[in-house]
Amino acid sequence: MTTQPLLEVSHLTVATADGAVPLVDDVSFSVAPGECLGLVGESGSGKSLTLRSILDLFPTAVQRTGGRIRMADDSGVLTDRDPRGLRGNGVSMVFQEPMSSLNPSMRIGDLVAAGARARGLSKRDAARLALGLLTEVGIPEPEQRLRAWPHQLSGGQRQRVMIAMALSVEPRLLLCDEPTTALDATIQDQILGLLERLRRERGLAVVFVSHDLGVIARIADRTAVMYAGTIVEEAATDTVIAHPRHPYTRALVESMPATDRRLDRLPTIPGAPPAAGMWPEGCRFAPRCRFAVEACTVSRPPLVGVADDHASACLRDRELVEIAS
Amino acid sequence: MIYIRSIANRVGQLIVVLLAVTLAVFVLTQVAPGDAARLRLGPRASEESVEALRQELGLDRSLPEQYLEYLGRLLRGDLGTSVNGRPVTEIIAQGIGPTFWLLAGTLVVSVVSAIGIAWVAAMKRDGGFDHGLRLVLLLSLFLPTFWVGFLLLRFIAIPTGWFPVGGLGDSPGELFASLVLPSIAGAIALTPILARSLRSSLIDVLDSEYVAVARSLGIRGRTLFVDHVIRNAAGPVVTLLALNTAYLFFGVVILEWTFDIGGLGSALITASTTQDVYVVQGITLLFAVGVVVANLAGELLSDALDPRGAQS
Amino acid sequence: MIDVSTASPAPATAAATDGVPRSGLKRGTGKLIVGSTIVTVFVLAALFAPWITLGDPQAQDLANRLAAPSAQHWLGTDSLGRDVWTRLVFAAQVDLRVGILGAVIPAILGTLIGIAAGFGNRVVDSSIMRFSDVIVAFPLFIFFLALVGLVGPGEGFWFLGPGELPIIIGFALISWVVYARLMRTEVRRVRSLDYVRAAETGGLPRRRVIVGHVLPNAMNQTFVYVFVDIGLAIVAVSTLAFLGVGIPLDTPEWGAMISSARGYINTNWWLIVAPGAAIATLAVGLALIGDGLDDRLKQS
Repeated sequence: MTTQPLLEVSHLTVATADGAVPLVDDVSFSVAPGECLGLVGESGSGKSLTLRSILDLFPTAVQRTGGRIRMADDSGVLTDRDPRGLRGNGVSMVFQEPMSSLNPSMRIGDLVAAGARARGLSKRDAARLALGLLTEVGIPEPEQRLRAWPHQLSGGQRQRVMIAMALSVEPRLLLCDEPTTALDATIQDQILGLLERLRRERGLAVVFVSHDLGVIARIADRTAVMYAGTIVEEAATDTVIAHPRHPYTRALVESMPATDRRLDRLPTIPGAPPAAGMWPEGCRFAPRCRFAVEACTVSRPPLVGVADDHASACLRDRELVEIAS
Repeated sequence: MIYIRSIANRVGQLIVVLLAVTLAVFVLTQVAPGDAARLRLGPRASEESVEALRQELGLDRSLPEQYLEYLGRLLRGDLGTSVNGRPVTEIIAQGIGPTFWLLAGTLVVSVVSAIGIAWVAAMKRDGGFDHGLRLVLLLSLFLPTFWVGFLLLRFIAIPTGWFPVGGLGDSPGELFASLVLPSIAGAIALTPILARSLRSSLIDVLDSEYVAVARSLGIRGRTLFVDHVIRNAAGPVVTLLALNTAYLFFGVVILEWTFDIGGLGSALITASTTQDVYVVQGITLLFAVGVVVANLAGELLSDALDPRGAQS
Repeated sequence: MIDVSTASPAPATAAATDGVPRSGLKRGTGKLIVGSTIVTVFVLAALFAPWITLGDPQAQDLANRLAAPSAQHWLGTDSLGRDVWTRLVFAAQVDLRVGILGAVIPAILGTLIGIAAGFGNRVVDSSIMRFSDVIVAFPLFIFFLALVGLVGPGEGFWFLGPGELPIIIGFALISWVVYARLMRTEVRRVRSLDYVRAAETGGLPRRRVIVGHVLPNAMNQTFVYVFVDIGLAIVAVSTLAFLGVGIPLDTPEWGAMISSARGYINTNWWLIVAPGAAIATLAVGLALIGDGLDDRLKQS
């Protein structure tokens, strides 16, 4: 990697508060300035918790149990950061559910201004900023909308407001937690287009979590595939789609139909991913893997480089490449 | 349009309820044993003068007529006079101050302690503290307010000398000191009801996605608590508080009698045990109207807190 | 009146979710044991009052007024030289009697009204429910205070002492609402079941529906409410007596005892502490039974 990363997460582990059930297990990744990293996986793979750990925004009874989170300071040097200190300070987040992520008792204008107000902006400046942001995210008649309540807006408009809120703190890194999952297809398309545009115009770095490989393929420069709390493969998005190495990624790509690319059902993979706390010994994908051998169930294969800028965590990587060729 | 209709609906309901209240209060006069006119003039008054007063008070007419007459007097702000000739409005004007202070004190102590207790319980939810608290709150509902009041007087006011043993002070400082113990005694009955409801709504709000959103933007501390948490958790509690207005009023009546404070409650008790019908009628009506108004205010306030309610 | 038992969602504990309680006992057992021990002691004391006291709660010993506790007078004497222990125990008779009747009568009344609402046509149903809305929002205790104060305690009635009947009637007017709502919901639920609906069209008498299907389910919750309501009624009775409304002041009754002792709070504080502790303990015992039963209900 040539550029200095903006954010570096290393050896992250997340578990239930009593420490009994591991949920994310030794995950490391980094994001360069202006880059979009996609995190893809089925529900329960730990991708959302990985994302939320960057800001320490866990549900009750879940906590980070290890790992380092470093973010580049103004001169570009990576320094250790308390995740809570990153909230609204260089990093912000777009949440999944537009119906429940907007405080129902605040007007749109106040909501969009709230983050800037918390950073010390005057009421008038924050209001002006809110108006500008609503315009930027494509809310029609933004002046009128400033006084509207969240429940008066459609799902797509709410998600635009959510994005405006996230932008209000002028982040360098935007975290997106399945921001289009709850929307129907046309709106989903518009929101993705908006995010792409904002990224370009503002030079934002993005970590984008989705269970939809199609969405990831469209927006992410680089993609990390998660399974049972770990990253099993990471490479440039084009490479992941065109030349997947890990059997799980292959199954994902194969099961990506042209119309509905969601991962709700994986016809090519029998069985279901293991629940947290029920992870098998060895490779966690082994029980469902058609290439698994005895050795796969013994020790967990590490994520290793298999090509230029391409890492995969499969014991039989070499053999499988040969079989394929 | 819908909004206007809902207001019209409410005003309509309000009128019906107020009429029912006046009817109930009017019935009070009819159940009192003995002759109101005779009671006023004493046993030695002549039959003619009693008869004259009966006519003056309208007691010789039919009940519907008397009720309409009563409504008419109410509209003119005339609540009648007490047995010894004082206008009821004057008695009310004198007693309403102490009653108001007791209400305010009880409310402030209850709401503040309910917020504190609910906050800690919500933070440590389902832990030993939370469970223990739930039981303590349940049991404290069954402590007689007047007994708690006497315990506070005997074991706090008397040994420390910080608080007056009964009565209400005149200067702001004395007034405050004399309100402390009654407010605590009143709050012991009201806090548990509020704290339980607030605990569960706080948990809902703290787990909500919009609070996570606010946190993700770096909003914290007082702003987070006021704008994002309490504003959303308060709605159900406001409604509950309004529903318990009658219970709160009765609690204040008990407090006045316990702490020897001359407010509306004490006046009501004294009047009712001395058959002073018009005083009983006037004060009861005032309390009843207070309950109706508080319920309405509660509805309006919880609408204001939750903008979704106002339009639907 | 506030509805205590419905406002108590039992938090799910490890024991409840696992279905295997840690202690090996059902949930709420501890509360039930403590609560029923307390209540049993009070009931026994009330039943055997003449044998565990000096016998006459009204006997005055004017030479020996406001005496401190001693071997002769366990809790001392009051301002008329009456033995406080004797009065305290006899008061349990009055308070339990009024409390139980004041809770059970509205429970029966409310159950009947609820059944009527559940089976009645829409007009009957909605007018009953509308009326219950009004009752809940009315300052009934203040009305009650005014009413009983004006009317006076009156004579005793049958086995009831002076002032007891108006209070019981007052409770009947106030607390039936919870039972009526509970029963109405249950009737509607049962009647919407397919097999009951089929049996009803097939000529199953209503009595059979009520006895066979509605009551067994609703009874448990009703018992929870009844225990809580007895406790609240006892607190309310003694409060009214303290306010000098209803039960005459010289009756051996806990609230009345406190009222007549209030002038001696400085010197003879036990005259106030003892009756109040009796009210609080008995009411808390009843509340514990109610809450323990509630825990069991939620578990099953």
